[in-house]
Amino acid sequence: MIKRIISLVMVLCIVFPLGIAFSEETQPKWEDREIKYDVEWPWKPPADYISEQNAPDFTWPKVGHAISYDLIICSDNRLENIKYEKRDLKNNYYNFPYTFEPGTYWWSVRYRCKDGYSEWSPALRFLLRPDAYRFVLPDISEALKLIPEGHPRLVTTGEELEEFRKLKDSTGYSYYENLKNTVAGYMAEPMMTEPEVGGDRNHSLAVLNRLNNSGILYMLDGDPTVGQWCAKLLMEVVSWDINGTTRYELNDQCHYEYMQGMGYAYDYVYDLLTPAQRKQFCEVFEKRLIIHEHPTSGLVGDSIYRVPENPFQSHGLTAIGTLLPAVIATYGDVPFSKTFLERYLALWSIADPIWGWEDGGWANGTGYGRYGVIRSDLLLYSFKKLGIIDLSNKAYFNNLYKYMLYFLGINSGANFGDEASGILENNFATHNYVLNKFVGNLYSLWMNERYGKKPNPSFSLYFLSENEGAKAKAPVDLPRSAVLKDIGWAALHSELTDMSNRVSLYFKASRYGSYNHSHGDNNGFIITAFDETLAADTGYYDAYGSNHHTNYTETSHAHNTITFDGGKGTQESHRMDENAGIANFITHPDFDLVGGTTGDIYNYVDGKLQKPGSLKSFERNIIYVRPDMYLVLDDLKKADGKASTFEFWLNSDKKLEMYKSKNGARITGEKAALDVQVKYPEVTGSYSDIFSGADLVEYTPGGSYAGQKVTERAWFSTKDAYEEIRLMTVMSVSQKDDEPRYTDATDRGDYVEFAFEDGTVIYANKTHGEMKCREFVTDAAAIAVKKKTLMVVDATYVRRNGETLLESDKDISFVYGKGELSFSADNDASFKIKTDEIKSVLNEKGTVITPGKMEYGYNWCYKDGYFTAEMYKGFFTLYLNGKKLPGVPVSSRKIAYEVDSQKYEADANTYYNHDGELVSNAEVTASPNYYFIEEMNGISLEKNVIAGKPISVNGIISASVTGEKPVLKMRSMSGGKKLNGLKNNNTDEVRAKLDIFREAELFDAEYGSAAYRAVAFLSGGAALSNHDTMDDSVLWKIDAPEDGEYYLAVKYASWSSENGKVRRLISVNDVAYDLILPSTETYAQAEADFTAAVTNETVSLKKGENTIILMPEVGMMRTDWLGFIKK
Amino acid sequence: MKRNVLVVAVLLLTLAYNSYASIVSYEDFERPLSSETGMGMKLWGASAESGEITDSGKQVTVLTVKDEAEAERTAVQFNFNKTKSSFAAEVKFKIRGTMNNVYVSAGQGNSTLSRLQISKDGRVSINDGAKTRLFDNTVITSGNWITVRICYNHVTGKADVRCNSEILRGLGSCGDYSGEGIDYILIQSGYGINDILVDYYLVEEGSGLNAEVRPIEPDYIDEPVSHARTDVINIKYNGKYKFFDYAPVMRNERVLIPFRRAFEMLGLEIYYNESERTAIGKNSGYEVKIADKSNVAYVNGAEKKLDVVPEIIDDSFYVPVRFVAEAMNKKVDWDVDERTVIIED
Repeated sequence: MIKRIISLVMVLCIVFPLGIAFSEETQPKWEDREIKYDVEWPWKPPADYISEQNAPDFTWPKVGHAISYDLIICSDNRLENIKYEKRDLKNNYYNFPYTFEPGTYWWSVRYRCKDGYSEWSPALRFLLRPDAYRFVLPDISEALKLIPEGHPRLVTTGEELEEFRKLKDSTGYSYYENLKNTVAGYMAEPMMTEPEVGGDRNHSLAVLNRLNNSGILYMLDGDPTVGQWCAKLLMEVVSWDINGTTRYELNDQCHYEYMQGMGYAYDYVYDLLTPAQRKQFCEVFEKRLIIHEHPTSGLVGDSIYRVPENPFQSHGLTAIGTLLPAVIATYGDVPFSKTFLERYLALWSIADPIWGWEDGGWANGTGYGRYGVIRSDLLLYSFKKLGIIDLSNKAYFNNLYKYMLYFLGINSGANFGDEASGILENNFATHNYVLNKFVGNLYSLWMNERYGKKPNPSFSLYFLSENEGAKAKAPVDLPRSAVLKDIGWAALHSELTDMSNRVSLYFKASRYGSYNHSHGDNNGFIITAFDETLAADTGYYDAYGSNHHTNYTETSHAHNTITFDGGKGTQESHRMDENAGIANFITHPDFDLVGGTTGDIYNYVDGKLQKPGSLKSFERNIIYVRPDMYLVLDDLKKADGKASTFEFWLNSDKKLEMYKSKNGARITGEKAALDVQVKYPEVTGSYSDIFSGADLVEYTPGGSYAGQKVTERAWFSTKDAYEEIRLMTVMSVSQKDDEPRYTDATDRGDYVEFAFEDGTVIYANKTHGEMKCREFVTDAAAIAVKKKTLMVVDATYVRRNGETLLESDKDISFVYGKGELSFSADNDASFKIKTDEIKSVLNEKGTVITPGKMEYGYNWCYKDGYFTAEMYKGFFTLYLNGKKLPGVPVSSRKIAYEVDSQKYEADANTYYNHDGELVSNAEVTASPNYYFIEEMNGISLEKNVIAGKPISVNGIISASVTGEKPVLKMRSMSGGKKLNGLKNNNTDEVRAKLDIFREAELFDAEYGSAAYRAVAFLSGGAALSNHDTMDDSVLWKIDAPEDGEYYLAVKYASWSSENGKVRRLISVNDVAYDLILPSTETYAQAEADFTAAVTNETVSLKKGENTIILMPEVGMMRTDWLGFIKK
Repeated sequence: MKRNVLVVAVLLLTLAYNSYASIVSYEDFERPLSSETGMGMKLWGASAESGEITDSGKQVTVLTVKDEAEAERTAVQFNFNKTKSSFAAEVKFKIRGTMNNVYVSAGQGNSTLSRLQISKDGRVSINDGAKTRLFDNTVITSGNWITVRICYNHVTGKADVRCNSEILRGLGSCGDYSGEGIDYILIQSGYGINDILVDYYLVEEGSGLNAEVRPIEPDYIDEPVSHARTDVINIKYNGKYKFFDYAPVMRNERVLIPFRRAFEMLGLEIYYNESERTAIGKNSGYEVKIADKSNVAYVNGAEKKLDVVPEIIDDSFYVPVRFVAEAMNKKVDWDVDERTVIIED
């Protein structure tokens, strides 16, 4: 009996191991794990996180010898009260198939290995907001059952095929017409063959595009010729030797592009394949998939099977996302596809994007972000369509619009990272459409419409025409500044809704540090104004690891941050640091604040992290004195007891001139200028106009970047060396020809008093001790005062004339005034702030924040004259006592405007902007046509149109009105003189008669997506192409030999006509004509498809320069050249 | 094994030369070169072939030298007229290929005066005849630009030698300078180094030369100064315009400004009695007391009549600036064109 009891206890101990079974010495510990690849899976949610996703994604470091993991989510930090749990997990990532109750939780995980259960990991707190996006991850085996058995299934299903086909007659018309032309081009070429040399992505992308486009076209119109061509190419690719030139070993990216194309085509033209062909395909696809998942040669280190160890395998994780649609296409037919989905579908859904998280950011920079978001688009569509997983419910996709809205511009933006421009280009515009149609975001569509941006005309867009998105909305109700807390980026704008005329500061303090495609630019800033970059993130991405990239682009010298010891103390390249991040963020009508900390990234020697290292801390706070002035406070503390000089770096891609005093510089662009002056302590400036650091050793870019513009930089070194110092630097933006802003700085012993032109006074503390400044006594880093608005930076107390204004147990920052209170802290804090009586509080979304609850990260009450609160680490903005939120309509008004001298009125919604001014939004109506904007004042229109530029109107134009008496006068352009083209197939004969000749592709300006395309058999080797959508326009400036009347001649090919005609609007020196050309009804694939036409009527040209603008109206055409024949 | 010597031209940095020095010889290599150009360059064991475009940002044409003689070293030498006794010789170059030893020498005739060695591990040393000294903070890697500057001072008889940004001072000579100067610079490499790419070489002579990194000079401008604004009434005190968050206002041809900034500007400590709506400014010499909507003020206790009454505008207490300034014996003037109140001590 006793033996049986002992046996039972032993069995129980095995089945339900207890903590008491181990002594502290023998219990497996988390620190026992081996970190294989320098970086590992992050702890998510990280400590003290405020989550916007319910349920959040959970990830933790993989333990190599773990058999399983137990995940618990508790309502207490001692982990005693388990609210949710999942035991015996095989992977180190998980999300739940149900949502949680909102509230504060602590989570922990332990692993089981052959030695038993480990200790529980330290409890990590997270707050789940009541308004968090609700996302659940279904059981993968159940989700896979939703994949249809038949084909097609990726883009549409057999049941929905008829509906899908109707798209070509409605919203998908333009796409369909372009697709037909593109595929006709493919089919006119010889069939692609196995490449003689491997690793050529031009080849693999060509295969992918041909298979995908022809397959989609076959599904759209069922043309068997196209379908058979696609099937033939598919089987050609299937026949290629998997150990030959298309093998993984030679280029992993080529390999997955071949596989993508194969998988898609298999799904699209499945019904045209014989059973034997399907079998052959499946065998080859499976072999390639197995190789790609776990290669043994070529790129083995950064491959799919290693992603579970380290999700930062950039090629590996990318390959999962890229291959998933093709794998879904082959699920059920290819056995390994099921295995692949079971292994990686949940992983991808949780881990992607590894370069960001809930905040919608992409830490690798806007350069690589533009590719990453496109990949996400395809999966978002496919998963949602099939009902497998609705990724559009993830916080990431719901917040992704912020990345584009706040960090991109028309010609300038946040160009952090490799190959980044910060420009709203077509890839991002595509994504804006996707967010609008599949996530329901209003602002993303506004961005495209306001700035006339169109999606990338690539193969991936067939789904964009599928459903109507939500109507666009101007972001007048959003804060003008934003922080992406996960990736550590912030954008401070003078105005969010006007990219062309605003002043913007972009700031980065990121835990992703300088890793991968990021640079040593933590605590760095970029300043743009009037859509041009002034303080720049410099350096080119000529090649990863090139001399220039390694020794310049990635270094701190190329960015606007701090170094020490004459430029030797710099941020280490390729390092993440979880202690780096945004520490402060406040936005307010008068002042914004952003602050960051850099962790240990300066403390590497020969690639090894030193503890304590030489730099204890670098914290930068930037106070934004709206709309165009800044005070930068750089807190620097050495850790090694050695005094250092510190350098403030200022990089520019415009002209940089240094002050004679050598403590500042001015950067001057075409429209704006930036003045930067270090006011404290004494510094001396140095300068370089080569790609160098302080040592003036030059690293020029190579490859296609050889000969690129050389940027200039200055660095301001402290004259003395310090163990601890707070640098104080004033920056201001002015219009180029205006007098530069002056800021007075007076050293008053403990502090420096800054007087700004707008009357703002900032007292900046020289030390971390107490400062007595005027009527204030405080330990703050700075206090800013403007009228009745008060900002305090990093303080535990402030007293004014003996009265307590702030009392806090930890450093906090806040701004109070104009009915708003914004506060920020890098730690939890309990505080009270002296305010007027507060009866009600709304957050920036208009949600009522009830006193006494910690639902949104702070628990407030009004007590004895003080706003009293406990707050979690974070950044919060409150609207007090019923203050109207920006953008919320408060009344309506009538807006007068004129079209063709007729007076009209439009209803406008009126609301308060961020500065408390009343502004209005109106919809101006006009019959569909092209219009010239003759006059425009106090009003701005969508498509970024300006007076003197044509705009197409499809019935309604959105207008934003800021003036009291706005003026808008438009004149319709078409309907004027008709120019009918008379066809002449002898193009050489027509050309010989021309008095003025211009290659169409050599235009001087373009608006929209006009482009030229190389066409070898045409004059100049190219044509004006993809120029068929209203709003697109191209502009030529041509010289006429003399005044007179001229016939217009063009050489072109056209299709998709209306009654056998294609129509264009052509403007000659602002006089509009209707150009009507007989359609050739050909797809412009051969010389014989082109014809010439000469108009029956003339246009007036003047001697010298003439401006010709061509705008599409009806039909599609390619234009080889245009010219004029004198009457 | 083939090794190439590439001579590359990259724009010479804008340099500020010492006024006592003159350039003896300088070449940057922006044109095709050949061993037959007679420009004073000698290529060891090599024949010339031009035409390659380098990865330099300058898009220059370069010389490719094929080492048909299978010589052990790849080398390039620059010859020029003999310098006077004090000189500075500078060369900027980079090497490509597997790191191996590289020597940079300057000398005259058959003698070597200075010889700098870059070893396989990238460390740099120089032998001055008596001993070898190491550049502590300089590491060279293949593919990066290297600048070497040798500066001989005939008064001290010593040379300062800089490699990139690090300088070793007071070096002796491994040969005999003795006022003879130099007439060549030679760069030669060991095995594995395929190319030597030379940006420029430069030789100067005269007094006052040094081995420092020559500063690249920016354009200099004046820093911003305070200025009158056209959109507000300006206050200028002792030559500086002052700024106000509550803008100055005009009442009965008198300018009023917020008392707080007014008193601070004039060096008075501020007291404000909320219940009596009275502002008091004090320092060691003056006490000025002004009340809202009262045409009576007190200066050091004496009653004074105001020609414009103070008032509260936008919750800010405004006082007549002329009165306060004149009460403290300041000189007050009005610039009509700039709409500026000018106050001087």
